[in-house]
Amino acid sequence: MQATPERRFLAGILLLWLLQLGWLAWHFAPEALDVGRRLRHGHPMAAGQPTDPFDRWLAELARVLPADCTYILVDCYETGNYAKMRYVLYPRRQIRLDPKATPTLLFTTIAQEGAAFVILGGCHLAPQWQFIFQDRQTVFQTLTTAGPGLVLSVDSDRIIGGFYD
Amino acid sequence: MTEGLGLLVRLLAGLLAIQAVGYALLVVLLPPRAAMAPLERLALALGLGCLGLSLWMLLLTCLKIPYSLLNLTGPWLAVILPALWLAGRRGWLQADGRVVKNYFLAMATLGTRAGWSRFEQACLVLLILAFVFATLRAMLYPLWAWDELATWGLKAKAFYLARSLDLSRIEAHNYYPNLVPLSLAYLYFWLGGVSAPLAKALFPLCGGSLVALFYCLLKRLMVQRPAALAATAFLVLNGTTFLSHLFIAYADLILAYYHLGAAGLLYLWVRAAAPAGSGIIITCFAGGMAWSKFEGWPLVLIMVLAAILTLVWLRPPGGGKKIAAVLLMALGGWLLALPWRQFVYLQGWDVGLDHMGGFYPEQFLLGGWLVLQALVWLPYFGILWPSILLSFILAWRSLLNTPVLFLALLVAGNLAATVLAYAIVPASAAEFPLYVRATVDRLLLHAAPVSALIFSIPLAPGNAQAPADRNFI
Repeated sequence: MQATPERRFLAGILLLWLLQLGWLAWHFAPEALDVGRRLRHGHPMAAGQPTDPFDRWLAELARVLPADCTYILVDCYETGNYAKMRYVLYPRRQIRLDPKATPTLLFTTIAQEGAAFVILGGCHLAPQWQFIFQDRQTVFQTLTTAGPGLVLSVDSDRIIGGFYD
Repeated sequence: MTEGLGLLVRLLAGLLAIQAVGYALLVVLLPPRAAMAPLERLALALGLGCLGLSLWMLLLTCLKIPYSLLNLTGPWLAVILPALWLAGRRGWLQADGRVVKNYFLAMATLGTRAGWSRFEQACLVLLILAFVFATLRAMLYPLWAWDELATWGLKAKAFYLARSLDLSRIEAHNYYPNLVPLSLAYLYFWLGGVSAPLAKALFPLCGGSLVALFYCLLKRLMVQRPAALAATAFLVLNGTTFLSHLFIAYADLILAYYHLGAAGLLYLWVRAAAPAGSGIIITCFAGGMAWSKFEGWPLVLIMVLAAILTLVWLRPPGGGKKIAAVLLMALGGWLLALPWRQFVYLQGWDVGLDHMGGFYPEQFLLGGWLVLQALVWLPYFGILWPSILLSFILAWRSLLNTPVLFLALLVAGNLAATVLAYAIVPASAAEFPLYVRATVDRLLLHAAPVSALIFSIPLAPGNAQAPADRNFI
């Protein structure tokens, strides 16, 4: 059989591909084993059961927060938690605020968007947020939800506007 | 257990309904003399089904009719039933039924009853393993990847719960096209709830249609069955990108599928070897590209430009008419995406501001370098892209005097567009490399299957110039 450039090319590619297939099998082996485990333990419809603490917390929030409410999530963008929270809690409307935001911005956002809840994610809060934990303030009430963040209900009647920095 | 089986039956019914709508549209759109292989018809049906149903859902929103399974599926029976009768009269239904049965038999017996060689059987086993893994991986896990939570899955949930294309409670690139979330929402209506893991079965099905289409196109390019099977397995099992997109709810695989359908048939058409009726399919698939992702319309323009430049360069007989036909196909694709553009305009949404800033030369250079790196970075595509580039080098003799030029221009255009997209994206210097690394594999996936058609040159030497087929349109 004549060794044309095409044949040499195809033989070389085939050899490299076989090596690559070995790597691919090694790469997906842990996932394939996990798929096998999931198939053995329970049927596919149980796949949506939350397993990690954040997911369990979200499931509890979905039970506690009214479906038509708006909530403000104070969390770092980098954690990426906002996307999962927004998905799980939909149709609740999410407004995101940076932990470095000023109290004025928080109050303005609550007033403008009609937010009924403020959710503090796991991200470190700037010092100005300490006002939220003062005993004398009456706007925010902590809800008891076990999870990596804190949920506060908002008494919006006490926010009368006129915010200045 | 019973509940689980019931859900699986509903899911199968939903997927079958999408295929049925697509098949009916195919029968209606194709002329009786369209000599398409049964496997081609089945592979193209998914794209037409998703396109037809999602545009129908957009129309229902405009008419303020809430979605329900009856509203979404019922009216299609008026198309499906006569189309099935017509397909029966043409003999397509019987042929397609036989082929489906034969393919299932071939898969179940690994081709032994059909006399397949060991090499073919090995390729088939690899493909079956890949798709079994991907299907289970899709259906046993909740949504987890970023864009499925942040964009596509979120919108699907919103559309299902609102019974309408309603984005009033979210801000998630609202101007993005909605073929994928609407198709997922359609499956939710069959499932009776937001069951994202099950609805993700749409993606392995889309991958299967893509793979079947790729195989059929290679066969049309005169590649023999063993080589076509091997090339198909080579496309699927090279790096992690293709395989991963079979089980995550992203729009990129569907865009790659529409791109393969539109550009693959256009390549055959430029070679004067396309089956009759290809023009209408190219038009619909161009519409599907523009309606599945924001990047889809630029890809249509690149495809059209590549075809026109090829025709101008090669000067085939009737070149002027052919160029006019290509422009007509592009216009048809644009018209299919027009309702969504009009909808976005009426909503007053800003389009593309999050992806388009100015032209940043330093990003152009760095982006170009990172795209080159991504082409040879094994975890992304294994040796697929280097093989594609080497195949072009092997085909250099036919590049400038045969329709292979179309493929070369298409690949070059896609790579150039990718780099250009990075040059205009508004990103900080620190963020830019991270942005490229998070997106480059997906952008390359859009063009990978259609670019891999160049394998027909080393796999079937001498096929660069195909015999003419006058059956076009």
